Amino acid sequence: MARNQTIVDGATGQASVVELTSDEETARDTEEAAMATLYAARDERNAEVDALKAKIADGSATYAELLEYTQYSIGAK
Amino acid sequence: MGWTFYDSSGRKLNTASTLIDNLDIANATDIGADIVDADLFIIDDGAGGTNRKTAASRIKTYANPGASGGSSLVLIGTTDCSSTSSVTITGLSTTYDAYLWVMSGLVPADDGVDFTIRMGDSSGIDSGSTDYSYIISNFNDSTASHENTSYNSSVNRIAAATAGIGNGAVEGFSLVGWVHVPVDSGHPPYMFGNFQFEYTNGQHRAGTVFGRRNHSITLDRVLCSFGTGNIASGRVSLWGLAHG
Repeated sequence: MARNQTIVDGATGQASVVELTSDEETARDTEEAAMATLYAARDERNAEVDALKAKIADGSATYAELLEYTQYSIGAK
Repeated sequence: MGWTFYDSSGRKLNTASTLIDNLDIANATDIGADIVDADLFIIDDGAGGTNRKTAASRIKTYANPGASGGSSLVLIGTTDCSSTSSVTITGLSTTYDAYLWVMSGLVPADDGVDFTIRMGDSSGIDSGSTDYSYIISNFNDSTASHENTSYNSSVNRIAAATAGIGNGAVEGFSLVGWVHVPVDSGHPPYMFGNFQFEYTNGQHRAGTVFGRRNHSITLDRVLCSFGTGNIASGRVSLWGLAHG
């Protein structure tokens, strides 16, 4: 099913809900796939940091390890 | 012989000074239509006891100085969102130097998404890979320190709220921002805004976003959407700020 977009004509104030064109649909699919990849990487990074924080809390990892992971994750090391 | 006048309750009217409480408004016939500029009101000029008529148009001007050319916000467009992938508002022009952009209670269909802002001209919304730059400063209610800064100088959108916006019962995203220098030749269009949202775990997060279309364009439209999925609900509105 085609997705809709809302366009508000500022000249008249009229809002219209119209289907995405085929090209717009393709562009949106491409963008959403790229975003999904970003979200997955973000979630993975967050999970790794949370796991390290848990290990620090129970004494099985050090704060230095978390800092080192952070340096890797931001590309500083 | 002089005339004697009585109101509908049988009270005598004093032609020299008829008190306002002699008027029986409650039993009058309703106008039955919206008030228009030509309708008349009674007004005590300067509270000096001299009653005059005044057109409704004068009240409109008094209450809203912008109607006669002063500074005010003029609604360009507004819409209630319902399962839409994006909201584009057109009609930006040289009429105004700045536009107030309000996104209120936008709830994403997908959980954990971020937010996208774009600009465009008469040929459409721009989404080239180097069209925008942005800076975001993020905070949350669970740490005293600044959460993070996100930035990009050459990208296909202005990203706001790069963390995951939740779509639970009390979650969603709101932003109050300004689009400024929209069509000043030689200057790129800018926008900035303060946003708040509920993270996927219900945490309250907030921040400020500064965005720029990297090249000067004749801006006539703006777009907002979530990074993926639809805007399930919420309202988007845009006003122009009139010159003083």
